[in-house]
Amino acid sequence: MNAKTKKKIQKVWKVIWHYISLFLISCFVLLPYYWMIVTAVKPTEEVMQSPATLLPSRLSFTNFTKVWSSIPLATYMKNSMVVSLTATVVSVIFATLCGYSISRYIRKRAQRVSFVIMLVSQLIPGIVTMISLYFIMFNMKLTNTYVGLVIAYVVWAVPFCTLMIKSYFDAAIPVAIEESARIDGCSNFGIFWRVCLPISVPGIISTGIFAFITAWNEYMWASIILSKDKLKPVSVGIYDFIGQYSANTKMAITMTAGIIITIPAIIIFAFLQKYLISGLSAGAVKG
Amino acid sequence: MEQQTEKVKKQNSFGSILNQWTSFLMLMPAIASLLIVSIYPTVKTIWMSFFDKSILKKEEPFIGLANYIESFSKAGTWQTIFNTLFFAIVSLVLGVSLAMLIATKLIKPYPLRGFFRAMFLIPWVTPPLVASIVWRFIFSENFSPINSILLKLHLIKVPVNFLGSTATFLGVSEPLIVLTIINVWSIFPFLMVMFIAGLQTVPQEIYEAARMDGAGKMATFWKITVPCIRPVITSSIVLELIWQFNNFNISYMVTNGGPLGLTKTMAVEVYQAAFTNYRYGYASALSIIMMLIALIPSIFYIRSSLKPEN
Repeated sequence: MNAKTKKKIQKVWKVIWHYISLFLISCFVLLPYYWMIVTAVKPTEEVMQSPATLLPSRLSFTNFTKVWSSIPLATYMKNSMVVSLTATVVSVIFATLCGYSISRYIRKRAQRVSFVIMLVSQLIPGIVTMISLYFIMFNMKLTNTYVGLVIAYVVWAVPFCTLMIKSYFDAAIPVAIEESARIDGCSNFGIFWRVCLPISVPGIISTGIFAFITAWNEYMWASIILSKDKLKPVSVGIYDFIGQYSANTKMAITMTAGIIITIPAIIIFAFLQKYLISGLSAGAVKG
Repeated sequence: MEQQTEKVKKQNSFGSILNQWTSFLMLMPAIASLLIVSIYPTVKTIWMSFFDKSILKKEEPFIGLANYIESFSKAGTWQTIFNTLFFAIVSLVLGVSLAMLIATKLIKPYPLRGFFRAMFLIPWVTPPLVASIVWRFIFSENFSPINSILLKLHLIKVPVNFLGSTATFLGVSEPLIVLTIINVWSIFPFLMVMFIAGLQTVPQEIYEAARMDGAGKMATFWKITVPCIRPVITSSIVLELIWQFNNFNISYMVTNGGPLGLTKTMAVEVYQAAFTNYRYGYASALSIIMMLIALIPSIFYIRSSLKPEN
């Protein structure tokens, strides 16, 4: 055996090991989804069997029709979508404006103070604000409204989004491009709007993704300010459906609902994943 | 000639003033909303922590530090603080290791890279509620696939009640360890994305040069990769540590703090004090204690964030 073939074997082993390790990690990552699907398609009499069977003895899709009449899932999903999308759009607008200003005018006092405010407010535990925010919202009659949710989600997403888009502007958009526009007599806002924004789309998309996930995954605040069923987002709706202790009897239906609400997010993500990484990557130099 | 320039100046004066203020006005939507909806309520919560505000009473007397003294005198509070620190720190260490392992694998241009990247992101977009309920069943006594496998392999005789036992492992209650593992599953995708994004900025030539010099795998990782993406690593670790310290979902949704408060995190304790028992003053004091503990890594984070700018 000469050195060349030895090297080749080594290389093949490296590739095999690469996929084996990724496969093992995948098992851990996909375990909950496997169990969700298996539980949802088990026939009714098999769901409550203990010890649980690892694969269904036969496929039964009755849960997928039953779930719509047991939980107002369509309403819940619509609520989640409306609230998350609105919060995303507003957060991205606020964060982009603020992040650009901090990135380009960091020499000014107002921008430096704003930068510190962003850092500090990112570190305040959500629950600290929630206690008194509840009273503020209550007095302003914003409990049991979409507005009350959106306002809070925007404010919780804005600090991270601003810092993210700021480091994107810092690293990915050279100031030199803007200088030539300034010489041509473009106003400060014009430079931002016409020169900088069109080439910052990847950064803006990845910021938006972050804001969307924050809102989509939130549970605590929604559970505090919402009591009307027709306004609840999916998380609160399903939690209230199963309650803390009756989970076992509603296991199959809950798993089915879980599959239905996870699928759209996964599909959207499969497409946006590329933008997320490239948008973050451009700003990653500065962290 | 002079008149003309005067005219032009006058016409532009409003525009030029606006132009000067642009940078300030751009800050305003974000900063104003933060001050009103985040900073102001925080100050109010600090204020409330000195009062005996509760739904049961009409008057709200000023009681000084009594709320703080009450929370520190309860053994449960100390247990909760320990749970929270263990949960946050251990899940962070494991999460960072796993994320870094995956990131260094998925930066190589092997086939199926995009597929794996997308797949490992799925936990991030799964609502914590859905994930928590599935994990609750996976680690349940009667309906757990893990128990089925262990029983089949004759490794155990009776099913293990992962989330309900009060047994300890190395001094830490078993349910808390299980919860930490679940949390690793839910936090690693964010870290992985940050690390991949960071690794993409490292020029390949540096690795070539290192290989020429005969640097081993470990040496390359610690001497080249880590220093190159240090800013990303530091900021994502500190942020994630604070987020996990404030984590509410996993503890509340998987075990609801039980058994016997062994898995209760501080966020859950505050939530229950405020919105289950309606003791707002006491809950405020607890939440402020929580914020003060989180302040320690925060100072580190703010200092490191401000450094390169000044």
